[in-house]
Amino acid sequence: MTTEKEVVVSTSANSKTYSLAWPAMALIALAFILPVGIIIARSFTDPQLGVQNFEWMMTNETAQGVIVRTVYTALLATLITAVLAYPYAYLMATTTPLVRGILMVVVLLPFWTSMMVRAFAWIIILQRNGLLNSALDAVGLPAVSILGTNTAVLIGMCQVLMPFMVLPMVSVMLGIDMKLPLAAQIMGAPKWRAFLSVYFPLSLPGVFAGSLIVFILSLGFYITPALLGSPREQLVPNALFTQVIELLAWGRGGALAVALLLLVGAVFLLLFLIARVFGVRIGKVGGMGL
Amino acid sequence: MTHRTTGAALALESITKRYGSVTAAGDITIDVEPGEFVSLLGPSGSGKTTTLNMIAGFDEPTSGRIRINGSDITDIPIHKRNIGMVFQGYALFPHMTVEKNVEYPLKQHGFDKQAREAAVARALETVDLTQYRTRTPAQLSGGQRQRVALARAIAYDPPLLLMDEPLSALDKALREGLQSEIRRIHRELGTTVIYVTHDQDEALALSDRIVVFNHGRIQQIGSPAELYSDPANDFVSRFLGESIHIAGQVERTDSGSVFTSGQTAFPVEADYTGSAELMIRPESVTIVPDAAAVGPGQPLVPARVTDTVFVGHSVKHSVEAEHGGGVVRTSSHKAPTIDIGDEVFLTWDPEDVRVLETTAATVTTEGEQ
Repeated sequence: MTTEKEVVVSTSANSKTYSLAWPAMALIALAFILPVGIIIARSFTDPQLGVQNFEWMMTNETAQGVIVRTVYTALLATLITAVLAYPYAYLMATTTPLVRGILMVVVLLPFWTSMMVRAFAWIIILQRNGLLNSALDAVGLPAVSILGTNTAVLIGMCQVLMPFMVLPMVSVMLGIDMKLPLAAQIMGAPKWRAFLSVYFPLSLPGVFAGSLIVFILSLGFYITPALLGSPREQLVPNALFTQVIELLAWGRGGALAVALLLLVGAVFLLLFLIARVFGVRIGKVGGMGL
Repeated sequence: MTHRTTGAALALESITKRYGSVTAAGDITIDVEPGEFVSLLGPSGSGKTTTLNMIAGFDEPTSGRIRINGSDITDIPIHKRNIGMVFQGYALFPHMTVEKNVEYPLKQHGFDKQAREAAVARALETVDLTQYRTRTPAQLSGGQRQRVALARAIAYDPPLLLMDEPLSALDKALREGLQSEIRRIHRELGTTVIYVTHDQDEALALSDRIVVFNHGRIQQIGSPAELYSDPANDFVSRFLGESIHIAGQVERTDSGSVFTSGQTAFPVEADYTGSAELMIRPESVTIVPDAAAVGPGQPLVPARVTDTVFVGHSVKHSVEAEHGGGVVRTSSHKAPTIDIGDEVFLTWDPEDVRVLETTAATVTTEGEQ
């Protein structure tokens, strides 16, 4: 009797718990799944039913160039931020709480500045008659020589993406027992080998989590390439914008959006496989990152 | 089993570690014989772990030298010291299997594959973990992890093995089982062991000799029996085992030294005069219900029973006297019935007493962290 009652109680508690997720689920369905569904549908129906939009994307040299450049830029941004963030994160994880606090503030500073302010700051600096070009002009350099290169886009992207790489790394590194490298050393490993064989492998979940976030985010960068890049070296989000907003080609835009989605999916799969090879459980750490 | 290792001789020559104005460990001098099991015992913050860390090379001594088999290792990097270590909390590599953990030191010391496999198998067999070799540390219980840590530390036959509170995270039953395992391994391997602990029973059970630490200083070095029966000072007597302490004065008379405390006075053996503390171990004390039971001139101290605990083989009585107190044990099967609040008298054989000179500084058994 008592047991039965308990079972009933726990079941109702479960359904109550599930019901807490409904508002969020509804929001995701309305604001994400539905529009994405419409975009995908349009890519097959606009301007007429068929795969002409994907045909365009796969054969048009400009579209091809945009996709390859986007992946290349995202990979490079991920690599650069990872290489720059790792020693910074290591310092943060191994230093005194005071220094860690200061380094944390430095990382988070961009986060505490509103997106709008940051966007305007970029515009003020980089617009045609902006600070940078004025300065260049004063020195006698042609105004467009800095803007419109992929390098400029990368610099801007890496600056914005750095916290997304540093924070997951630090959160994983803080969980590493600092006795472990010492244990490796007393067992005969020189410092560098103790680091490579013990600390580094244990920090990899943070590197993977950060890389995943940074790569996915860098595929969707719009403002930075728009401000720092050139229309001739477009990335997917900007090309998509051109197609949809300027040319009203919803179908072609949809096809590019589908390409972005597939790319993200492919990267997830790839990292998952790499993580399996390294024996790292990425899901556990990825959620913890931010 | 034959001895596979010849234990190393370890000599700490007046090593000192200062952090600013704080002396974490001062003037530590210990000579450890090859194959000896020496415990560093003391409350937390007493300098025992600092001393161990200096032997391992994790901390650099401010002054003093450390020698292994006569050669100075004070400035030698950690990885070249050829020391095995069991860490507090084990410090197993979480990304490696049990097997790989045990193999790690062998790899670092350049053993070839065949020798590594043999040594891993032997070490895992020694700690009875052969069937767990492909598990990761996360898949093991606390006791099993502790045994992996032990196997990893002994796998490459280090002549010196350091253990930093290796059993502190385990429950009592497991701890006692592993204590005898550590004793057995030490006997079989002949390795010199330096064992840090704050648990007096563990130190008494395991060690050939115990070094008692307090406030960053060595209080006494000796065998468990020596420390128990002949503590050098108040701190050692309180930290190791139970005892009764009575404060008083030692005075010299024509017939020898006399210890006076309140109304009572009786002869003692002491070679100084002044304020002193009397220490008697609980098994040497007899509780008598009235003063008439004791002859004149015999020690007799009135006391009140404040607590009585039945602990199986004996009954533990906490007693309070005018100038002291402590613990008395009576055999549980022939114990006189003594209740809390009873006024009784304590007496003892004068030979079982130690007179400890009272030091200026108050010595406590509490950690000072």
